[in-house]
Amino acid sequence: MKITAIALTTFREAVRDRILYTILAFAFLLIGASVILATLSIGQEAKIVKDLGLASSSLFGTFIAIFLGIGLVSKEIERRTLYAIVAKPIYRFQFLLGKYIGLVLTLLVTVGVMALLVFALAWTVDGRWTPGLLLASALDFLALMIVTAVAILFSTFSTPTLSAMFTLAVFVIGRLSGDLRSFAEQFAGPGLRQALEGMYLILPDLSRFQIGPHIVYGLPIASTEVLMAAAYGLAYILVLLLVAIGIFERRDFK
Amino acid sequence: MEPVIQIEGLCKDFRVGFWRRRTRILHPLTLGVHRGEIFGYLGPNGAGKTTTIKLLTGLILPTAGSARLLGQDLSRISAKQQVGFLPENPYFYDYLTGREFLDLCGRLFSLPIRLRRERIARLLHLTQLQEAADQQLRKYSKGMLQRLGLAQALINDPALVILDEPMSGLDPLGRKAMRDVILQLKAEGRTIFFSSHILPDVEVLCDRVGILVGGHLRDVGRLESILKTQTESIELTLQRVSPGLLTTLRGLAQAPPLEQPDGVLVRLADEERLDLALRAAVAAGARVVGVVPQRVTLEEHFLREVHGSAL
Amino acid sequence: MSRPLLHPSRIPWLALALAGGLLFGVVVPLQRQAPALRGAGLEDRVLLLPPPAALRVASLGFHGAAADAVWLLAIQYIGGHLASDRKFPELKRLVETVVALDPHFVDAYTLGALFLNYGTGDVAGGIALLERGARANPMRWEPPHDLARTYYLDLKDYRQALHWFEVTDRLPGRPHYVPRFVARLYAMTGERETALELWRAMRDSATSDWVREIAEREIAKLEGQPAPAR
Repeated sequence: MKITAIALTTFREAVRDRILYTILAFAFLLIGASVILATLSIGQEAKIVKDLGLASSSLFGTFIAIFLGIGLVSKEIERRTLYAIVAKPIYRFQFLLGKYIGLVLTLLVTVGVMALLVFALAWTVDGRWTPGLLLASALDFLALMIVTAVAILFSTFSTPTLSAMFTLAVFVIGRLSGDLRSFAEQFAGPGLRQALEGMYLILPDLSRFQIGPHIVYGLPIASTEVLMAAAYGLAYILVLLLVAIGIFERRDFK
Repeated sequence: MEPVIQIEGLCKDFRVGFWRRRTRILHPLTLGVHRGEIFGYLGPNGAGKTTTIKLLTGLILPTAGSARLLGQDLSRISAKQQVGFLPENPYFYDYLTGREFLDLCGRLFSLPIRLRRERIARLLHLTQLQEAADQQLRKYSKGMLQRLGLAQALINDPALVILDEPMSGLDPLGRKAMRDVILQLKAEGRTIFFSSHILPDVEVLCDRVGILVGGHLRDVGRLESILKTQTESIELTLQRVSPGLLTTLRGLAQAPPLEQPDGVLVRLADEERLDLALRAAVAAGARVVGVVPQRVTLEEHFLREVHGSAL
Repeated sequence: MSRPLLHPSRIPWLALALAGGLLFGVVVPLQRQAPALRGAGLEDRVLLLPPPAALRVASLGFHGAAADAVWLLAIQYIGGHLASDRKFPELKRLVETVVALDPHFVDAYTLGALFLNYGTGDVAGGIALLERGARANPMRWEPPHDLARTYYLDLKDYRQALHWFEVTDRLPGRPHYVPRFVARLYAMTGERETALELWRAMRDSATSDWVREIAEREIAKLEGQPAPAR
């Protein structure tokens, strides 16, 4: 199928780009460093390794998602690699979906490796398996898929640099979503509160995909909470992709 | 028979500049390209040649008008199944190998695997890229990318081949090779539409040309018909020219007659003056060495068209 | 030799020599002095620590990791002052920042209270912190346990100690000795009958000999006492 062909091409291109490995190396360093930092604590090694491990893999995953994501469409237009492809009998939406899936596959591999590393390190420090870490990583991956879709959306109409900035901004707001909301409830006047509430509802709430604290403290996780978050994530991704498809279809490649 | 490319009133506006003013880049274009011919699309930079090609290949959307490729409307995906396209200065994915890229292109045409392999092998041979086939594209030279571009344009055995500045960046050997390929494609019964500003190549290759200036199609037709209307002058070479004859000739000629080793060269504007000059020469006993009509070259015609529109 | 000093063949050697001179003459000595300045660095970091709300935002939702970072800072602070002046003026603020970022960080409450108590002598502060920890983590036994211990050992307030030990007793994972303390405290506060009941129950359900022995010893002690005047 044509979408598959594009997806595999995108995956190949991403995986063969050396910059990916540089970022990954830094991620490994940071995750490894968490073990060293943990030794400074007085008994909180397990918590520190898990907290820092999850945070590092989430942050680096996001950097990779943004870095690769903006390249998807913006770079292709700029470098005109797109021309030979779009001129062929392929729908533009097939091209876009193929790119997205290819990128998600790449992230799956890179983030998967990071997650396994955190998992293994947590085991060495804690003395037992914490399978919850894998669930935390899986849910965080869904958040990552949202960020990727945002990157693609901006990519369809914006330059690489602007796309990166906008996506980063959405990422930051998305992570602060929960805090922003409580801030609004406490401090803001009615007008500002409505505006912030509106923003909270429309922009992606990435804090819903954070079950790290639950895992680190062994707190119970309501499966309904996880399922609702997953449904929210998938629906949001579809919305983003559909808007991207709409924009991309009418775009002139000058 | 229906034309391979049928363009009706196709035009394109862009929003340009800070104020996003609507500017017409391509004025309504009506053009037909017939089966089996090589059509050259000429024009200075910025005339709208690439815009036209991008409209035909679906890279940009028309403001108005329509076009049909091989009988199918442009907006349909199926219109592209029989078309091969080589973009200008092609640039492909850095980290794929040549073979992988051609395989991708084959898949986009839904070619089954065995056919893909067969064609890839044949095209690699045609473009002399067999040795580089498994190297990553970032290592390819410009000429190699151009050849690969040609290969990917032919992967679907297209009836119509569209080339945007196919000679750009090629050295003389490369240009010769490209010319040979184009002629070969024609011999195989395909239709070729290409844009260029290298006029000597166009003169050699094309059956028909279209000249685009400032978004308007100024001229279209067979090369000979375009150029024949403009016989610029006739050169008459005479020997044993007497001074009296010379005076007469000076009156008839466009420019002062030239004294040359093999005779006097007189440039005359048209056939009437030629007639008068010949009679005068024969009457004066001069010897007519040569009569050569100077046809305007495509370049001169082209420059005239361009400057004409600027006036 | 008429070759100028800056001849191309000499430049690499000159550059290397200059680099070596700078490295060992300037860079290394400057770096040697750094530890003397670094102590001040920690204090600055502690003093200039932003308020929890700001840190919450800056941590982009990675509250646990941010709490860990501040906690490590607190440990360094404690360690530094233990070795020098044994005064911890900023400890309370540091610990409060940690738990503001991560209310479920139980060790911060318990160890923080420990240091507040024994390090700065701020027993009330320690108790307040532990109560906060108990409220934020109702299913954890550590905060109420430490509260009970503080009341028992430091404040000698047996009624409160008993209350908190009872709270601890109901929580999962609590240490094995808690029921014994509950029973003892009942006895110490004059609730002899209740104490006996508790000891008897413990003796009957004891899974190990030494628990049963302790229970039997305490029962004997209580039964040997005359009933207190009511």
